[in-house]
Amino acid sequence: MTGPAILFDRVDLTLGRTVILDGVSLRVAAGTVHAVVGPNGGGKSSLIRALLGQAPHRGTIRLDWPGDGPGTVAYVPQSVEFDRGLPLTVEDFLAVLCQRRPAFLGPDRRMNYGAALDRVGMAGKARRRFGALSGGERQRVLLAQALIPAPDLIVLDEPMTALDEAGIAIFETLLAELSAAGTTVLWVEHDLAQVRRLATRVTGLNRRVLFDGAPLEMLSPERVFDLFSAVPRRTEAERIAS
Amino acid sequence: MHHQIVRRAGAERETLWVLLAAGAILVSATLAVGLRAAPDAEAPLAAHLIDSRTGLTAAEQGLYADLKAAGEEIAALRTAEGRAPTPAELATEALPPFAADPSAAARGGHAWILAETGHGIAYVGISAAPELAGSLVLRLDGHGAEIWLKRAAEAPPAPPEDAALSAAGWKRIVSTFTAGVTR
Repeated sequence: MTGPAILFDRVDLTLGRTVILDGVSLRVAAGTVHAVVGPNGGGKSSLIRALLGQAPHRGTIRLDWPGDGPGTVAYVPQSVEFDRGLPLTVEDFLAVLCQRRPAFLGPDRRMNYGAALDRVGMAGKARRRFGALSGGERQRVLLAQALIPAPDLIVLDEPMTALDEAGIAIFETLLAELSAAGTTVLWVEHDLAQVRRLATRVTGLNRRVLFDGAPLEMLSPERVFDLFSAVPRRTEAERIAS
Repeated sequence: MHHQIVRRAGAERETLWVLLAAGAILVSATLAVGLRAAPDAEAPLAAHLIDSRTGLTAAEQGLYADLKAAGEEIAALRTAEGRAPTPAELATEALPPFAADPSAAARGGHAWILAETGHGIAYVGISAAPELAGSLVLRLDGHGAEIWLKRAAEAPPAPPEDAALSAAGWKRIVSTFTAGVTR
């Protein structure tokens, strides 16, 4: 099964009196690596939360699955908050997130956590204490949990932030593998060079969609300046309308 | 192709379920109360009976209570002395309601006389103020006291037997116990 297409149709999100998303309309094609870029506070993570059904958004968010029913959605958070002193191994952490069997009964062997850890270059570290891992290693574990079971849609929230160089290489390989398998990737990122290299499509988001297209065309210096300026310029259409 | 709409986060559905559950409980409770309610219409009293709780005036209720207590007293005196005490004797013993005191005057100032019945004796009190308390008959036979009432200043038929009393419009005071009785 290949990944779903995603449709955001005039999605608004207001928390308190703060407008986080303002009429965001966006189409993510099935099986593509779709990057979302934008400044801090631009609503990238909120867009993901809305997609995961965790935000009180308005408007329509629709997943068009190719099969008869919804497939597997994986999510890699930006970071994970937890007590570093927690006596929790890497395997336990995966067990908490991935398996149905209660984690205190031990990791489910059928889930094959070793293979997933192998894919992110963490082979042999399944018994390490999770709190003792470096930031980059933790990020790799977060990637590994997204691979169990094999995802049809993977949502990545700045996964490369904490990764070291070796980790970035692994991430790129993974992204290629996922893309080859037809998985839809929605990827929030602020490293524009990586987006330009790896994404098939990019959307600039600062409360509203500022641009949407192929990375090579879209990530021109002018657009990027525009995207990261404090007051985003109005879109062409709005300028004409007013 | 399967279209999956991502629902907004919120408690609308939970609220709806809670409201539905509350509504279902309310409806079932209403139904249960409505269907299982005990029939409140106890059989109406016969024409020759009057209810001591709801049918009597305040003065009559006082007299009724006093007469019931006096009935036991008189029964005891009868067995001790072998004869029925006269109302005058009871008055000298200050036994209400036979004692001539301000309380008796305020309750209608009954004039008490002793009458014979077929099986026992009766004390007849004729009211001087029927609007305060009607005339009363305390009938004592072998098995307890019966008290009859008529709201008029007239003597009962002689002898004061059941049929004659009810034919003359007298009513026997009875205590009924219904759901309204709380003590």
